[in-house]
Amino acid sequence: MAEFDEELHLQPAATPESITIANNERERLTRALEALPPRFREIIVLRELEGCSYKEIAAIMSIPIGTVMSSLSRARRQLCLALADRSCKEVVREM
Amino acid sequence: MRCDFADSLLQGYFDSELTASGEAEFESHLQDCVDCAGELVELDILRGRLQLEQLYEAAPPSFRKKIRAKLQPAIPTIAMSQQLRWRWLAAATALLVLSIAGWRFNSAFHSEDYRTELAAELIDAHLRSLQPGHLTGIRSNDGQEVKGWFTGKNTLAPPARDFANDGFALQGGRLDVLKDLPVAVLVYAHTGHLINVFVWPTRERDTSPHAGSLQGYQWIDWRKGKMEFCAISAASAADLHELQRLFAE
Repeated sequence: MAEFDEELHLQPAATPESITIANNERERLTRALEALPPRFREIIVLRELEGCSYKEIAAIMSIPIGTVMSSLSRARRQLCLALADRSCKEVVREM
Repeated sequence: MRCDFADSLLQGYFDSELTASGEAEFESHLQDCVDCAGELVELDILRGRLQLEQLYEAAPPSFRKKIRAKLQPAIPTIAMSQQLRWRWLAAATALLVLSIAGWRFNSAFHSEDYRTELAAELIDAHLRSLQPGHLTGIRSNDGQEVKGWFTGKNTLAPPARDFANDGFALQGGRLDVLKDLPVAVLVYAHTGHLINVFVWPTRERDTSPHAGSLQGYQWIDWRKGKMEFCAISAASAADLHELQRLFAE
């Protein structure tokens, strides 16, 4: 038996409250991304938002694939820290 | 202190970028490393947050196509079968981690515990449904009508089909609650037993059925078409397998 995927459940129609929450979350994420060093922001955007493979990222950024991995690791950790007002660990604890 | 694998294999594993041997090595490591398992959960949550609508405006398709064309020589040539296998394995382990995080995060990874706990909750829902007036939100043996009822409820519309000719008569459907979220339920009658088929959305690939029993009830779980199904009943395991086979056709 596999995981019950909560995220996929269709949400009820948007309410002013849900819109406000979504806007706040978007602002928080935007601020956190902007706070990253440009190279880290770039690698996060390429991987998480553009869906590039490591090889593509390596070609775009002119870095070895091993560096892609280590940079992604540091970028993701920094992003988690930048989202410290509601850190990833806190989300895990709430689950 | 972070695990030595956190900056290398863990990232590659999370992104399905490791070779088969690297994947096997990391999965073996994952059995004993709570830190890495926890970090996988964190990465998954972070990725989920980054998928927020309107966070990012993607480049127009024409521009994207131009860029991709220039990058063509760099695009990986990993065989599709290997990629798909990777994703399945990665998803399976992520499911293990996430499910335990969701159902009481702790340091021990026992997928059977998770299955048992979810099965227990579904059996509770099954028993509640047997109380007068709780079985169906719509009572009908017309699959289209039942599916339309779910659609009207703005929720997942499961493939409601009547298998009366095969001994499984559709009784109707209802919305139920699992983990505080609505799930669609199809109700069948078979040789004097009621069968609840709980259906919820999933991102994962189709899987073959996985069956078990608890408290005298049988359950069988499978995924098909981005939906996960779990049938619960006091009917025999063979009966549930037969119903699953009908759904799979």
